Amino acid sequence: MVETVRDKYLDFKSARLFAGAKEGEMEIASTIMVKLPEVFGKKESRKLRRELKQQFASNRPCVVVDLSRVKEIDLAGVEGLLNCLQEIAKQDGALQIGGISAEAATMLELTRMEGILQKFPAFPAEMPSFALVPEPVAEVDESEAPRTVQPQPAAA
Amino acid sequence: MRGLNAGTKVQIGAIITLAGDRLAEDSSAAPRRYARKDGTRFLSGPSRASVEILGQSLLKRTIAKLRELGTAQPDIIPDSPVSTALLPSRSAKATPFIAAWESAVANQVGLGVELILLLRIGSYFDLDYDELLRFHLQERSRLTQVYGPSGALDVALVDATLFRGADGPYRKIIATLIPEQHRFFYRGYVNPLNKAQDYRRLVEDGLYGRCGLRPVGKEVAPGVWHGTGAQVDSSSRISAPAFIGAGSRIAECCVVSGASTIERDCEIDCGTLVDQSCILQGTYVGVALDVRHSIVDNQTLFHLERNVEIGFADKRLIGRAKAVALKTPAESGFHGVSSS
Repeated sequence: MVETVRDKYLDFKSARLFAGAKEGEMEIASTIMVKLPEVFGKKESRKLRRELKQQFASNRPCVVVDLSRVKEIDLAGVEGLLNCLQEIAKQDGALQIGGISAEAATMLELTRMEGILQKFPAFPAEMPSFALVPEPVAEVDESEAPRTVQPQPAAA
Repeated sequence: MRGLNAGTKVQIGAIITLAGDRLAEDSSAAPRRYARKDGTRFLSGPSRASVEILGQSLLKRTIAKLRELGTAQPDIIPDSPVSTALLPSRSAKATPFIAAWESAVANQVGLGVELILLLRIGSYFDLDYDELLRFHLQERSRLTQVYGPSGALDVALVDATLFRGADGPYRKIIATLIPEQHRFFYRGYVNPLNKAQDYRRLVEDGLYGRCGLRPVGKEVAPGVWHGTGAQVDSSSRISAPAFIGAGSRIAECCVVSGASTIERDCEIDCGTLVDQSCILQGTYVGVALDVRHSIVDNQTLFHLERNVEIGFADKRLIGRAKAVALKTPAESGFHGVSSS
């Protein structure tokens, strides 16, 4: 559910956004991608908590939460998401919603979580926003690592 | 019991069919298509006749209208699951529906009625049955079918004397009458009730007086109706127009706005907002929730703008309301109506 997007994913175009910065001076914070599964309940919520604890290594994390796959989310899942937000807030982090399904949006609206999400600061100005872009289809090679969705920075 | 229309002195019977699911596609303007895995939809099928709208179901409203018309006690039968027409075809196979329909016609004929009103409850319209009756008699018609702007409505009037002493199924007699039917053109309000959005539109039209569907209750403030025994905490705000059904309770610090309705025997718990939504009978809505642009029925919420249905296993959020013995308002801590 959770993966860290480190500076190696930033392409040349993004590097140009930091024009003027000397080599070595630029600090690019890691972005943490949280992709919630189709069913997000108690079990998945506990798993998310464990994974987040491992990922929150530094202060002020930038977290992208992707709810686009969520079809079922119960109260335990909402509580799990709230815990995730609490951890981000403790670390003084920023939050961006990468995508949200109709089911998840309805549940968050019902439980007033929408308002809480809006209170989080946006990503820092020097930090490119991330849009989820699927990798181009390639021939399957069993020796390669499993395909992941590679976020690409949106234009500033 | 024989029915007698006071105006025309004609004895009228009635057969009401509860419409099954429509086979039409979801043509709503919502951003996503919606249907359950079994092809049905929220608020579809025979539930359309029994779901209360502004305090009374379409079935009960129809029966009340028929009583005013002076019909005999109507026969009520459930529709065939695949039926799309009011009048069964001559070649229709012997299904439980056809058997029930034939039996209902026989029953009405046995009552000695002269005309039979055939109705199928699946959509809503403000048809004046007296006007239809006068047209039928004036035209000396044997079969009159009602047509709306989009085609045939599920209402027809047939000469029952043709069925007396019939040799064979009644549907075959009906089939011979269809080519020579008279058409009564109705230009009033029609709501097809094909989808949840249609239901919501009907509720709004009823509250705003845009159709003949009136709230069943007392208008306690301009545009705010309460059914018998409805209780609203004085700290809650009810914005007109609104309907609070019989036996329903609105707890502390709630807001009901945007032409929302709370049907019979519901419970809206503390601090909850209901905006541009309908809460169907017997539903519990939990504490501090925001119900917007939705229809809520027991353990299901249908979001009208997102066109998505969500089921709830957790009764703390949405579930069935418990039956509560009514106390006096003072005993319950409810001190009257606060509305704006």
